Amino acid sequence: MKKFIYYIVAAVVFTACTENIDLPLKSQGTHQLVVEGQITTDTTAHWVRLSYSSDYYDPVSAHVENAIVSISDGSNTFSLTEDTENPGLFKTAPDVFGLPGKTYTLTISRIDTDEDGETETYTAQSLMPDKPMVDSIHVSIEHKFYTNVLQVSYYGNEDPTPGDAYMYRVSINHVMVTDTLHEWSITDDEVYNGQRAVDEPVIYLDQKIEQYKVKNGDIITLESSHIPYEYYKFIFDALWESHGSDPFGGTPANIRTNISGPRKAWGFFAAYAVDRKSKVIKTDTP
Amino acid sequence: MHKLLLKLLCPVVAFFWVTTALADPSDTKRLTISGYIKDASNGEVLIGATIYLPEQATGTVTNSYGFYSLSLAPGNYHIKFGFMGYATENRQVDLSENMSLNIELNPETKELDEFEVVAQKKGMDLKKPEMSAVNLPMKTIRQIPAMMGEVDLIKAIQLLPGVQATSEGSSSFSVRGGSGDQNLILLDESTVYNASHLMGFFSVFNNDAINSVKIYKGDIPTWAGGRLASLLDVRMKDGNQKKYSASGGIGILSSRLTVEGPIQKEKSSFIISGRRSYMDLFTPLASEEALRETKLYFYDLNAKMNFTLGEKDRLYFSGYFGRDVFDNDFAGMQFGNGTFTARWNHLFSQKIFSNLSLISSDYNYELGFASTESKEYTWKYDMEEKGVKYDLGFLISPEYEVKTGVQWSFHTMHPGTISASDDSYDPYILQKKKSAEGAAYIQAEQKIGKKLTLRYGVRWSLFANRGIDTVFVYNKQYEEAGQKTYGHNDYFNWQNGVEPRAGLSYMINDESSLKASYARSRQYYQMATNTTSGTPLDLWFSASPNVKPQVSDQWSVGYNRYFHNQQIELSAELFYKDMQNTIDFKDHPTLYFNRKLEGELRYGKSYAYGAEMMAMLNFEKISGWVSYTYTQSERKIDGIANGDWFTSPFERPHSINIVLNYAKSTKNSFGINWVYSSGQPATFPVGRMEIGNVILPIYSDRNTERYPDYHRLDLSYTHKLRKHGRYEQELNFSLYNAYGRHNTWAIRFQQDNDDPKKTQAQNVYLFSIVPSITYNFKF
Repeated sequence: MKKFIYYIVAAVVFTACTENIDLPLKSQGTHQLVVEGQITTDTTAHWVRLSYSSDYYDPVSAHVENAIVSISDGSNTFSLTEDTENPGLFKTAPDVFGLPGKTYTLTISRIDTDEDGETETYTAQSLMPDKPMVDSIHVSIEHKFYTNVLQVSYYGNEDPTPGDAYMYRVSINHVMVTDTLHEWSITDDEVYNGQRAVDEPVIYLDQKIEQYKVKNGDIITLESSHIPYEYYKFIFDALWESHGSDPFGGTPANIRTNISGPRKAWGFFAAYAVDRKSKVIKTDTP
Repeated sequence: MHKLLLKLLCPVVAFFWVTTALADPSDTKRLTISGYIKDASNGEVLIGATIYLPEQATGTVTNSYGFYSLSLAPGNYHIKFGFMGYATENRQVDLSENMSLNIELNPETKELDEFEVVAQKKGMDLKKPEMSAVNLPMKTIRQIPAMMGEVDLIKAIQLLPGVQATSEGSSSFSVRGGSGDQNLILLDESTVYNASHLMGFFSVFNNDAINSVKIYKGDIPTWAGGRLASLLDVRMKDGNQKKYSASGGIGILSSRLTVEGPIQKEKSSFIISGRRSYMDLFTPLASEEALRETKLYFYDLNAKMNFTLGEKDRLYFSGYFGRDVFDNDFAGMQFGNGTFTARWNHLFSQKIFSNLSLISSDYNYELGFASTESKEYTWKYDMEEKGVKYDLGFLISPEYEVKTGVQWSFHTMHPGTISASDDSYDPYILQKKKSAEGAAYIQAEQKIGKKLTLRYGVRWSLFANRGIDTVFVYNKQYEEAGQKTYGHNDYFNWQNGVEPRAGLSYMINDESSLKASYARSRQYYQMATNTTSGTPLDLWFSASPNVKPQVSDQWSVGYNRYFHNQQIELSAELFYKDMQNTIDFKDHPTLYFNRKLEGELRYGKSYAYGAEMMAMLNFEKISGWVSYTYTQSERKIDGIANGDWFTSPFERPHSINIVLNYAKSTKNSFGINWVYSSGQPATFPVGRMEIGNVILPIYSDRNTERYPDYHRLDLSYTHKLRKHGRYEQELNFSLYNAYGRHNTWAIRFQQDNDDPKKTQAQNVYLFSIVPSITYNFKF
């Protein structure tokens, strides 16, 4: 429902002017661990990226190197090895997959964020939900928001228990085009819990943007993920809090995290179930 | 409950009975003179007009119906009737029996009279045991330079010491560090829940239809309550009783027209006043499609009728209806208030004035969003209040007056419904919330000797939730720990509290007085918002088994003094406000479409203290005021900022207002405003992290930083054009934000477009210089 508020903000910001200003900000003082990681139902090398937070205007974020990283489902433990070309990026073996209903624990050790010579261990837990029930999708070019958009909608049932959340991303010809957090579409089931979605639009991609442009015959894939509610909250916060406050938006607050350890840490480790449905688009202009 | 009521009221009534008996020595025979004071040109009642007996150095003022009553020993009296901007009427009265005397004052002013009225008013004001209250004459409001030339009473109120706009351009205001929903806004006694049009750039009050406006900053009279910070009491005009007349204005953003006249001459009258903005007429000319297809306008209508039924009875019917409309290809929104008041004034005798009011008020909004060609979602919100009030005023002697009354109202709130146009989904409906609120009050004003005047009273307020309802039970972690269901019309969660309020004034000499006051208030209804600017998406919620009523205690002391032939009035006030059960919201609250909204609330306490200094100027050619305010306000809320004290979101430590009007001649006048205030508290990033290919902020604790200071200069020039018979006209030129300061509306943090690793702060401002021209007419 915050969508509506976005429109109102947009209406005001529409008439507002902006200018870059030199605003001194306080320093965070020290760097803290930042975690981005997930395990999904896909059989692939699942990854965890570790970095350090920095002062707001500091353009360099340091990677965490040489940490020991593992993911466990209680009975099996998958260890992650650091990518030689991408420092700070830790990967499982390529044949690993997650199973709905299992709780996954991420453990990060041999890390010293406060550089006091003593190593710290951080953990995070995430319960993997069931696969989303998407029967089929519908793709079309529509004139919306005063532009042409690729509209992707779906047909399917929603889990009858309340408190579910979903994330939608899109690939065009098997290339993920919504690869940054701002492009992810998320929703919870508060207002339609347990009901059937019929041609329900979940994502719009502006055809003025180069990477979203589609032509006749392109394969559009909707990646639907049934995500833990806490992960939904994390993405929601990240979308909502990334630009500071405005008089409509409420007091800014820190993005919630599920990483715990001896010192404050940021980010999220999520276990979620993925489903993909594809459709070839037919447009009027081939 | 009735037993409780009796128990509480008995001692109070007994107390008043005793003091009344003491104050009314029966050996002196008293006679009463009473009546209405009106404008001779149109029969409009004058609220707050003075009735002054210079030889006895005593007097009174008219009430909100323009009625006065004085009790005197038999004899011959010289009485002066006065009102700012009107010629004083002198009458020699031989009082040998009770008499009724209606007075009409002429708006043709001679300067000598101005001084006299000021002098009389001075006497009254200095003596009146009322503090922190400002009555802004409509004439003054009209002279203040305004944005787009749209003179607005809320924007004028925001220029008073202790009152701040909550954000630039907003019609929401903060009084002494309080939040916007702690202000009770009454239009002819009916609550106005959202006073904004067009995102707050306009208020719902159409100047042409308003007779008087008075703000009480915390020391709210006992007849009103239910809010902690202030009462804004707005009264509509009754309509011209003598002749038909019309007035209006044509501006850049909107136009307005008022028609008024007698229904039956001198006995009954009507007024109807409408406004409409027409930005939408210009949007089709825009080059951008998004703007071209956007409709954005508001309209509103004020109407009132009044009937005089003999000497003793008057009937009033007044209403307001307003609507804002926003519409484009894929989304639409409508919102607005409606109020209705029916009042019956009855005089039981010249000493006993009564008023019965039936009131109704509602606020609702509706949003529509097209999801596909055939499917549209609608979100609806609606709240309404229906109530009755009965007030009695007893004039026991010139030294002793008692007011008492009872009030009851029913509230219904539909927090939200979402439905799909094609019925593909079951509608999502949040539980309707019903409740009732009542109060009984009694208040006395007593003069003791020539120097001391006391006001003391008590308001007893009462609240209950009403079924059908399902209330969640929460544990200490604010998680659901069960539910409780209540049946149809089951009253539950009875809450009540005594709200003592008192004030005194002590005349140091003829020119100066000391004042002090104390007031306790309880608030049972509040708004779910953690923003500083009012959006139309108000979501009010009531006290409940989970939400305790907010309570505030305010102490004030003040010093008033007149200088320079009464042309300068200086007032200084200190206040301290202590608040319990302060409501705030946890980080990332989900306010809309949340069955467990109450689980998002956090509770604590807060305080505010400050000093307000104001010099009112009333020279022959220059009028206006200069004020300075210092405020500190903090909150301590469970679970927010680690449970430590943090700065209240509305605290502005320093603010200065200069509002001046220079009447160069009867034809030309100039207005100037200069406003300065410390920047509003803000939360800024202290660090950053990179996740999902974006840079995300890490924030400091709540409200540890501030926006840049706010300051602005406005100028206006009004030129009266030549009068053609009855037809009067004027042109108003105004310059809002004359030196074009880019005052911060918001600060955003962005990744640089060219170098996404770089982050920067952006100042978002709404206005640079805004020039405008308005044409006003009257005939």
